[in-house]
Amino acid sequence: MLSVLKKLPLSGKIGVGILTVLLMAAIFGPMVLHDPYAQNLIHSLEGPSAEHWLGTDQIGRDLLSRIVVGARYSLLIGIGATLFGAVIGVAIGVFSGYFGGWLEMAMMRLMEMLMVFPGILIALMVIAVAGDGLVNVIVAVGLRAVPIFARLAQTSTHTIREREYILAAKAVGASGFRILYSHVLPALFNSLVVLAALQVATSILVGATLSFLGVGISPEMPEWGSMLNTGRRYIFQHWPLVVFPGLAIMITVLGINLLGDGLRAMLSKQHGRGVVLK
Amino acid sequence: MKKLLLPLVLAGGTMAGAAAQAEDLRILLPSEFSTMDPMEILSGDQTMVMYHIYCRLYTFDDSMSPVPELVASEEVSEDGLSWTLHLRSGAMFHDDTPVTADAVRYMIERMREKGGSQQALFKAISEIEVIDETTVVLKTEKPFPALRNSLAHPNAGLLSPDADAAQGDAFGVNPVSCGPFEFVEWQRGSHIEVKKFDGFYREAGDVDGITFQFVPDVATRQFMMMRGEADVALRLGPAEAQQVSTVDSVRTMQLLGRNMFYGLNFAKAPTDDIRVRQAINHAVDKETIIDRVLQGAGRPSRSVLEAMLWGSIPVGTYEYDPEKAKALLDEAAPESRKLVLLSPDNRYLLDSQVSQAVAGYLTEAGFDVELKVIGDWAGYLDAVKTLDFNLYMLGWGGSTGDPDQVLQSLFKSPRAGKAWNYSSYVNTDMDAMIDDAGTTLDDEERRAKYAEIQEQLFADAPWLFMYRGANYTAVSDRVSEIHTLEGPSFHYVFTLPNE
Repeated sequence: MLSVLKKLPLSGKIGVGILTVLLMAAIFGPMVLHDPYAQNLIHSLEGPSAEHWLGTDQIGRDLLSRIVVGARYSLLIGIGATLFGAVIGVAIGVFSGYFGGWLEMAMMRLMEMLMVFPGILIALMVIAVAGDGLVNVIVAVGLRAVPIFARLAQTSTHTIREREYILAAKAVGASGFRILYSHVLPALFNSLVVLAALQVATSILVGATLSFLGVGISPEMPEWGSMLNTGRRYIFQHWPLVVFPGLAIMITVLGINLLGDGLRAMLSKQHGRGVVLK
Repeated sequence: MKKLLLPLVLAGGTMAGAAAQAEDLRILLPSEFSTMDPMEILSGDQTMVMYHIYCRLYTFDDSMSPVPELVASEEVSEDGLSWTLHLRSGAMFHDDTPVTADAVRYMIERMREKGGSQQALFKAISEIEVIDETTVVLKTEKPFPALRNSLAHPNAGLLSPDADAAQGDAFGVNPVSCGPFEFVEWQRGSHIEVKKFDGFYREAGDVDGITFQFVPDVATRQFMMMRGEADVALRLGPAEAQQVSTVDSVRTMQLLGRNMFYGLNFAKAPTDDIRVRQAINHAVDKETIIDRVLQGAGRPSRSVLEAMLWGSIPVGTYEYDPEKAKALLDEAAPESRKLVLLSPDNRYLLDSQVSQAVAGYLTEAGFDVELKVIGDWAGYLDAVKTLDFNLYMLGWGGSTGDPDQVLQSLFKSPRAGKAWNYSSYVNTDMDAMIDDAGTTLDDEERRAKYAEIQEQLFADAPWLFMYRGANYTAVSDRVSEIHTLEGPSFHYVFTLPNE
């Protein structure tokens, strides 16, 4: 793990730094900060103070602790949706890429149909059908990523299955599933990691967009998108309500993208030297 | 900011002046609706558009008293059971058929057959007798002093019987009535256009046409007003009103409107227990909510009959007393302390914000609150209709100005679980009291009966009493005349009769 960190370019290291701070805040922050749901109307819309570092929101809740707790929702949606998309997408892609035939044909046309729709539209449709709730949001946002993972897995599997070592494995009698598991998937790993990192960033943005539109997540939950939506009303009166949640989204997405780019640079360099990260 | 906006305002103003005639107005409404059938009036915005298209036998003056519109004269029999109404001759529908006594009968019968949200309106009328073209006699079994109010109600809009028969279900999207404006087009999701009806029987002001544009987002309404792209914008919040009034050509009016409350469900634990309902009322600090969340736009509600209703008295308020709330709750010791709170979003001023504050107060008092905010109004009403809630937010405007209609709709046993007695308030004594007060002719006596009803309802705590909400209407200086009906909370831009 440390050796990986050392090999990352500077931008990647910055990304890791941002994400570490964010993760720490998301995990431990709520233990030391105010209750993000505790309201005090007398102290609504106050500016930053020693008591409330970023001030308070429209019903007197501590803005900093809401943003910190919001990191949990955003990371949960980002990582959860990406995992959902990756697991299903890679499974579809690898199977259809390896076995080919009508299965590949059907699956890939299905994926293309999904790709035609903008991600936010798919997510809105899923929420409209399945209803509100955090799990539904994760599925809705994750569904958008399924065809992206499936495409990558399918095309790469296509190339890999023609390699000599796959032929060798077949020759010694390995089953199709064994080949997929022990030979194809590890070969895909590098590109999947990079794609996943970038997809986490996109998923966070789509998730925040949904809640900004008032869909999926109850407005009392401190999610960054819905905080932005509420704060919009007070933009001239009390700017911190929009600026800080906005900054939180920006910094998080920036951090993840930096990490993703760093990983890509590092892995392509290693690949050039013939090293496979396992 | 102000410096930046000033040139924009000038440019916008000149453009509007050059492109359109000065008398065409653009009015911004926050919410669209599905029909303009007078059987189904559900919102103030819908009422506002329909008020310009439909005419009625009576109309409300600025103090919510009914004054004759299409009625030339009236005679009431001595026992108060028979009303003879003489219509004006020469009034026409928009399809050039005359407004006759038969059209009055048609409207009342259609209302009673087709039902809808305001079915109670003409329940008292037992017989309708058409004497000739312009004379109709309405008979009631018991005295019905609120008849004028009912006939002035926006739901009592007359409709052309020919057009209604020809169009069937499509009437609601292509209404033909006899108001000062006739319907031109309805672009779903965008706007409704009306133009001046030349055949209207009297002068109704200098407005040639109106475009009612649906702009759900309050900030967009604010900016369109500031840029001179609209002449009237309804339902701005205090912050937006303050911003809009920085433009010289725009003035704002505070519209003290609906009586806001959370209906408590008598048919679902734990709100079936009076002590729990009292605890809820004591647990919420309304003054502070008005002060901080609404930023002053409202005042505490003091009766179920707030909002410009005849006979309304300030019964009182449940004081904010968290200790008392906790004590009441402990005494009631309900099996479950879970409350389901339904809230609309962007329907009433800062509604979901208020609901969050209320949920916070209730949590502090020891309840386990599940807050469900439902953004679209139709979806919200569907959720309310399932009756799976303990509290639901509603604002009531009292559109007839007479308390009878509000009480009939909200608190009568036969309507339990239906519009608008979603609280399932069932009390046969109250049924009798409401019917009795509604048929009392003597004003003094009637007032006393309504006072008693209000006190009893206050004690039963069928609501979490909240506040009489206020919002702001921005009006540009191109609008020469605008009237306000505070009860149902809307405006109209034509003149009253006899002005």
